[in-house]
Amino acid sequence: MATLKISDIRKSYGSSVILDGIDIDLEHGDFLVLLGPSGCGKSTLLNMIAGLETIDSGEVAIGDRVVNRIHPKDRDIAMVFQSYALYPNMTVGKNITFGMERRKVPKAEQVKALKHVAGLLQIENLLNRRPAQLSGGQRQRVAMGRALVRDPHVFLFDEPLSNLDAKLRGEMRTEIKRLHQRLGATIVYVTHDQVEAMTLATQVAVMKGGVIQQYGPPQHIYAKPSNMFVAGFIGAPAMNFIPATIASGDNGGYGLVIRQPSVDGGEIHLSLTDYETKDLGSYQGREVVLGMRPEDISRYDPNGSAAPMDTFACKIDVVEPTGADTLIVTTLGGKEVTARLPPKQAGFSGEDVFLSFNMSEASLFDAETKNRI
Amino acid sequence: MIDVNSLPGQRSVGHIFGRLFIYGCLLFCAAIYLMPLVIMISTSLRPLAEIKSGTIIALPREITLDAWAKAWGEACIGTKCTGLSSHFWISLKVVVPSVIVSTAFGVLNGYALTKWRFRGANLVFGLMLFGCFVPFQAILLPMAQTLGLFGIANTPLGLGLVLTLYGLPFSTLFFRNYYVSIPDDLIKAATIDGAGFFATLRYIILPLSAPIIVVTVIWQFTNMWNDFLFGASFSNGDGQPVIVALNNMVNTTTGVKEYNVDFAASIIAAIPTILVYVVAGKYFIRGLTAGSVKG
Repeated sequence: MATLKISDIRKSYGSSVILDGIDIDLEHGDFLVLLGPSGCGKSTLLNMIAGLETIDSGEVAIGDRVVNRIHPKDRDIAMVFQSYALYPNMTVGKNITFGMERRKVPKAEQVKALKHVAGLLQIENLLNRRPAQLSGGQRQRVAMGRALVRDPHVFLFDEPLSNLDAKLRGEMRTEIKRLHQRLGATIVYVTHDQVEAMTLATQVAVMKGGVIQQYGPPQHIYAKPSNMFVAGFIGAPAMNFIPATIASGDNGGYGLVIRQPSVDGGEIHLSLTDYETKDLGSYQGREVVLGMRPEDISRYDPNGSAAPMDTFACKIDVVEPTGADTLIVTTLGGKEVTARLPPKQAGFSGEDVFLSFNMSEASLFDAETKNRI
Repeated sequence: MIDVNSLPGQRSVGHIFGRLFIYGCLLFCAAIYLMPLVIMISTSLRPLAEIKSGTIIALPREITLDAWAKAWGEACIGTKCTGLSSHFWISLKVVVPSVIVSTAFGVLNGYALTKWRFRGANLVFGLMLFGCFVPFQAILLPMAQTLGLFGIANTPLGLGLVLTLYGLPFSTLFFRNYYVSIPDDLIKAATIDGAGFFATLRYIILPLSAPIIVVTVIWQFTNMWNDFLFGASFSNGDGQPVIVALNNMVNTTTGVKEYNVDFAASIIAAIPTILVYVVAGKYFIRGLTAGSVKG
């Protein structure tokens, strides 16, 4: 049974198109993250699911029931807002039970549900306080409690962690993940933070300009981004984009040539024998963009062992230690390229080193359409 | 905030003279402002004979409440000598309901204009705002005709209606500007929780509105109580509000000018507004400066 099904949703304000044909299909227990930069339409989409925005065309169905014309309160959803939207005049307990009160749930049942949720979120000792007396993390919990107590078909989270400081954000992220695993609820979660998307989601929809750019499990989107926008948006430091040309290889396959514009010039030859698309004939001799994650670049130390495939010489421009890893920046094909290395291998700026690309993890993009080849 | 008294290197002679100058100015201004009130009170407590024998500005040698009693119950307004009391009650009868009604509508208007935006909400607000700037004189004649048409000319109801209508643009403006700062997410959350237009107003918005309600009540009460033009235009005889009655009483030209009675009457007419300020004053400041409502 589909828990949430969105078909060809469209929305525009005047001449500006906000959403341009969105399709989503979620099973029970899915955790969908709508990921994108601000203004991509992700919050609008969430508000449409909630019923707080009208839909120009298309359909939203929650649990096999089309809800386009159903009032938000009857949609069997609960929402957690970015600003928490706790009612300042009510105590925490009242905040959580307000929805049940409006729905005329019997008092005993309310008390039971409140107790259960308060235990789940460990906020029993806060129930008589007012929101103004709570810290950011506590407010966040209460906001989630208000949603949890309803036990709805679909939970909607609108950038719930963006008002927290970095440490708390990490903790609450883990907590949300734990809650999801424990409750097995269906969640739609809006964020612009790709780390949240990677850690929380079972499905990610990367959005831009009112269109879903790629939809799938986070690891798949990370490893095989469908275009350069997705590739650049997910992952920190971002994927390296290096201009290159496709050439025919030695053994009938295809290879990749990066031309170095520097004084010493030269060309870097890379093999494409492992690449997913075998027939690159139509691209032969054309300019493409090679996408390489920083962790797929390693350093080769010429200590007698045979050099791995796709190794080349270059000079380190900058060294940036981050603790666990050290980032080194060099220049390939006129573009800055970042590699993520273990600190002991990092070297120093100005050093001439050999780097090797793990070409089985490479992505190739059409230089014009920006789409994955 | 910086405590300017405890900054390092501040204890020079120049600094002390500066302080003296500042406090001197403040005391001087306070004295100027207090002077009329002091003189009014002191004069109202003096017997008329004492005022006539000396100057108007002097402290009382003999304290009596006769002037107050006369102003309240015996002073002549026109040909009737029953004092301000009946007019005082008429003012209360007109002003209190007008304040309540105009504030209540202000709540509704402000709420609807900010949280349940409809097509043309800005135009409606613009037009209501325009109402704040329509001069009183401009509507005297059409309003008199309208009241006559409804058959409520020269009645407290008619006067109350005019005051309420004139209060509406201001109360709408106050509440609208206050509600703009209440986050829309609160309304969305309440909507999902199942609260409709009035339930949201009752359970979420109203409990947050105390400061702005106080501000509006003070503003409306003061303006309506002190109104003279509408009172003089749309009421007559026994139905006149206290401010108009006070004017008529003080301007009665027959007989001796009773300064002590006039002053006592002025204070009586001013007491309600002073009371409202004293009771609600601290909320007034708080309400004017209250910023966004933090969740």
